[in-house]
Amino acid sequence: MRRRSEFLDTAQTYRDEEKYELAGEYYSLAGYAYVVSTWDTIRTRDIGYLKKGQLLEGFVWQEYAATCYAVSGSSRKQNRAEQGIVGLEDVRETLIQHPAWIGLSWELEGDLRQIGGLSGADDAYATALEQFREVEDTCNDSEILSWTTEPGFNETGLFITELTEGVGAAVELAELRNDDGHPSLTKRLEYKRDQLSRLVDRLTQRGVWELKNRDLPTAEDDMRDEDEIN
Amino acid sequence: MTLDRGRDIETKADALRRKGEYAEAGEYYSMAAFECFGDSIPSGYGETISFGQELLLESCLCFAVAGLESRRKNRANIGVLTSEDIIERDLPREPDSSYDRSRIGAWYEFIGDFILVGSLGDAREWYDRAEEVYRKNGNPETSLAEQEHLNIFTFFRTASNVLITDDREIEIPRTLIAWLQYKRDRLPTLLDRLDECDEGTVQ
Repeated sequence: MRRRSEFLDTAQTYRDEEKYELAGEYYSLAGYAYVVSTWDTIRTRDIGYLKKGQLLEGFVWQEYAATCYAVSGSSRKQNRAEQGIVGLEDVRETLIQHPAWIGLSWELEGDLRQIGGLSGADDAYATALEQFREVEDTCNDSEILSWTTEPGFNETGLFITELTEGVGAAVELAELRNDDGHPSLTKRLEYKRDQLSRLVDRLTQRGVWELKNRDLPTAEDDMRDEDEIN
Repeated sequence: MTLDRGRDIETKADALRRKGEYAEAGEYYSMAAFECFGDSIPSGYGETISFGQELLLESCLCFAVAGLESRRKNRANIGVLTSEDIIERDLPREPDSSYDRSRIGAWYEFIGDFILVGSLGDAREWYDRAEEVYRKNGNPETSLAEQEHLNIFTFFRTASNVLITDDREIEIPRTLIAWLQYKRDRLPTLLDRLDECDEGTVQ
């Protein structure tokens, strides 16, 4: 994962300079950095949730890439989305079993279908919802809160926040919580399902997706993660 | 994540393939391919990615020999999409000589190869497009081949080694169009031998 932070830094720089196609290239590379570094580790030995979340987080960076292509007006958004979907199919088939991870993988597929202008997003989100309902039926509020902050879940939440802020709005936290005010996987998904396409369309029309300050992985994070793997 | 690491993983994959452990070899070739994809700083020609494509074709072939159809098609689909993305990529391709302009034909060849090796359908359209590129650009000699075509030749040699039982040296024809025809004549026949895999006759 040595180059994850380097790729993300470069992507953010290009995005800040409104060079969105180049930003898309580097977000893609960051996505590969996550997928490669975690995938071979997961295949060779089970080291738990962190790496599975980081594996799926790689696909969130593919969402950033596809969105940058969309904002740049490039039709490559569709290809990037299709590549992500094909990768997710393989991950589901071979690497993840827990309903939360399966649900997240379908959520990401729904997102990619929306960003890439592909059909089938509703079915993907419906499958994700089924999986998340199963998680929520068997977990208490504290456990559900933990899931929402796992790698992958955390990033996909930040992604919809960045899209929303990109059109000058803000995410209403109440939209992401259940009737008792606790974080909810299903509510978060429904919010994103209903908003994402409209947000990407607006950013595409504007041709700008402003960069907001946010904490990204640093070179130190990369080294720490490599130490965990080794 | 580096190209060097990709080469190290390829060495493991080669060893597994030679031992006949095709499912495991397929995994390692995939890992090596993604290492290359992740180490490919954007460029118009996609040289590093083309090495990844060679490895992905080898992964696809190994999964085919192992009878893992879903994984075979998955890798082929990734290879097709990656090639289409390079073709669509709007980055400077310099120097812009007649020879360099024919390089893009390699990516049409890759698509054709993935369609055949992944059993995704008819590859003719893509090979025709490659030939059109070569014809328009002076049909360069294969002895001057750049990275992308070298990767394509290497995969063909690997497929020949895996799917035929003798050790005949593959002689690459002199021009890109002659090469393409040579491959179109032979790769489908080579892949027909996958049907014999259950009988343990592949190397």
